[in-house]
Amino acid sequence: MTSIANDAAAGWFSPQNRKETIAGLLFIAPALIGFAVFVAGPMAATVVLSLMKYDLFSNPSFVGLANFEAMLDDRRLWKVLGNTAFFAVFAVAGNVGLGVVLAVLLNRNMSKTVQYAYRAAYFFPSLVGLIFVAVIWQFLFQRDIGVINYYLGLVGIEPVRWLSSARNALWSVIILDIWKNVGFAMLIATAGLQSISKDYYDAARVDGSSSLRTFWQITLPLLSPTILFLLTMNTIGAFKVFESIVVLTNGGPGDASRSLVMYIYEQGFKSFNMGYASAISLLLLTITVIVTAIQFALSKRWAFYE
Amino acid sequence: MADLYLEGVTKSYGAATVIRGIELQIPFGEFVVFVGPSGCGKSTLLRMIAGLEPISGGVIRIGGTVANLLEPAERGVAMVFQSYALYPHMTAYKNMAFGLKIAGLDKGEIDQRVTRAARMLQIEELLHRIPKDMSGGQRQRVAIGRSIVREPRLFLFDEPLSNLDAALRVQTRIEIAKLHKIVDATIIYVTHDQVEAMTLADRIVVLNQGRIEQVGTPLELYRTPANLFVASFIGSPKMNFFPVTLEREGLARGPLGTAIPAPAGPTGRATLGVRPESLVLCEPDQAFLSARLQFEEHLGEHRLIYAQTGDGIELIAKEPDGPSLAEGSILHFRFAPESAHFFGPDGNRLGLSTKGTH
Repeated sequence: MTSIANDAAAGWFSPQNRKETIAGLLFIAPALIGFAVFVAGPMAATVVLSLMKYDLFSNPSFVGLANFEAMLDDRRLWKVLGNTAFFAVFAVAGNVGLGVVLAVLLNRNMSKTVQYAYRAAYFFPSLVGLIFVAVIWQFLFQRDIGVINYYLGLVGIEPVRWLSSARNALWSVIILDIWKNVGFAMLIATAGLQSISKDYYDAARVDGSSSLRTFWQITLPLLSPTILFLLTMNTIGAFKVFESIVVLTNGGPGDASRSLVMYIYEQGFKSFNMGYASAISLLLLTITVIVTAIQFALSKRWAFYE
Repeated sequence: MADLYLEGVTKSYGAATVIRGIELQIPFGEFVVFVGPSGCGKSTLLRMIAGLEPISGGVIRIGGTVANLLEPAERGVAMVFQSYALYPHMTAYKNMAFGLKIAGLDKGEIDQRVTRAARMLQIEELLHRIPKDMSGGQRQRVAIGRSIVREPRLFLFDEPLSNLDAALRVQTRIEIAKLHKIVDATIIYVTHDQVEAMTLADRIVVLNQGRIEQVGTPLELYRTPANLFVASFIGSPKMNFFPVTLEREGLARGPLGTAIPAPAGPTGRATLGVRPESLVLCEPDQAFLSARLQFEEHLGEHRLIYAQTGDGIELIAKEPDGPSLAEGSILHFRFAPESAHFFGPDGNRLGLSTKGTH
């Protein structure tokens, strides 16, 4: 038996293929088991639990769709959902938009030393742990002793209540998120830019295109698959925002900066409403899938694949 | 009067000089081919004329204006790239219209020019396709169309056929030659393929290591190459070279001791060049040289004979085809004295027959 592929005419477990099929299954078994234990299992458990009332101590009891019905009347849920959407829109726009702009600015002819120094500087925050970053920013954002307000004061701006004002708290989280993640977007966008053939730019110069026009009409369309990728990954990430808010504001003041995942955590592990927490998790999954699907559907109109 | 002047044009990247003092004048309407081995600087020179590559020294004058600092679009040039460089997200129509739109032409004029070029190149049915839905040959035509619609005074072609298969290459070559008859413009065409150079050019510029080796019509280069480089680069199969001794005024002696007429000049060592088609099989007593047959290539109309002399010099002779020769047999060759080329120890042609145009 020399062929690696199964003999298509016979079945997988037909006598001549059985050995290879078993060998193949053994090869993928570790990954398959890992997937089952750590991904498929918890997901199935979440679906089951969302139909239960379960407080971790007594046995779960079946409640049907009660957890989902409860969502409709849960004003806090709608508040944190709004917060999360707000965060996602601005954090994604900031990360992707600024990341692309930085990538373009740092992809021009310049001294290699300067170029790499800037790229490294922008990328560096991506390498640092989020909790650590958030702790640092918590100090920077302090109203009275924070560095940011100190410098704003030097140019005559009144101290800003970055973290303690309901109006500012979420914006502060967004600023941190962009500072932390824009370097990664820049890196991916840089890779995208560098895969665009220089010939297009030569052709555009012969056509007399200004650099601004070239950016809008050549660079952006050719970068669109990269931008779609960044939008998708950043959106999925943004809907899961958690640690930075816990450290910076712990969701406050009130629920002003609380995110959906924080609320799930609170319901599950503080209020012990595991069933309700599972139901909200499914809501988050559904929202993420729908938003991503919309992005892909819309991208047919603007993303161009060569 | 020439339309394009290159005066002492140089290009350096740091310490590396890639273009060394190019002097060239090209009259309006001429088809000029830059040819040379890879790395000779021909594409760089073309990009310098286009304005895509800044020049390090000298003057480029296009249509009477110094173009050194002009942007490509301001030079009245159009370029066809080796990769075609069609904008992949635009239809053929938009690709061709892009530069016109920037130039501020109105819609009607753009449409008229694009349609006319499309008809000329027979790509009307492709106008609403994007490049990935076209074959290589079709993309090539659209790329040429994009250059035509700009109605430039100078067309620049950078190895435009090298991505096409052999059959399409011949066909497109013929079309480019036709195109030159239709458009009222100068064409500079870069290639490493000497057949393209020979068939297309009014004049050929042979480049080597950033220098012009010779400028002339295809036949001038073929018949009176100025030096060993041009002699070996132009012509396929390559010219054969043999060391000879120039004994006295007008006489050279070959490996078998046969004397042949040589140009008057210094005596001493020299190189004799004979094209494969000038080598003729003959009887031993008439032979200039003898060589052992290595193998033959039968091409129907003629055959190529590969042989090696006693001194280990490989030679190629092109003979009318006939029955195969006995393997390893000793062959005797002669040639007409007027078909001989002599080159001095410095590689330059000896004798007066270098009636080039530069």
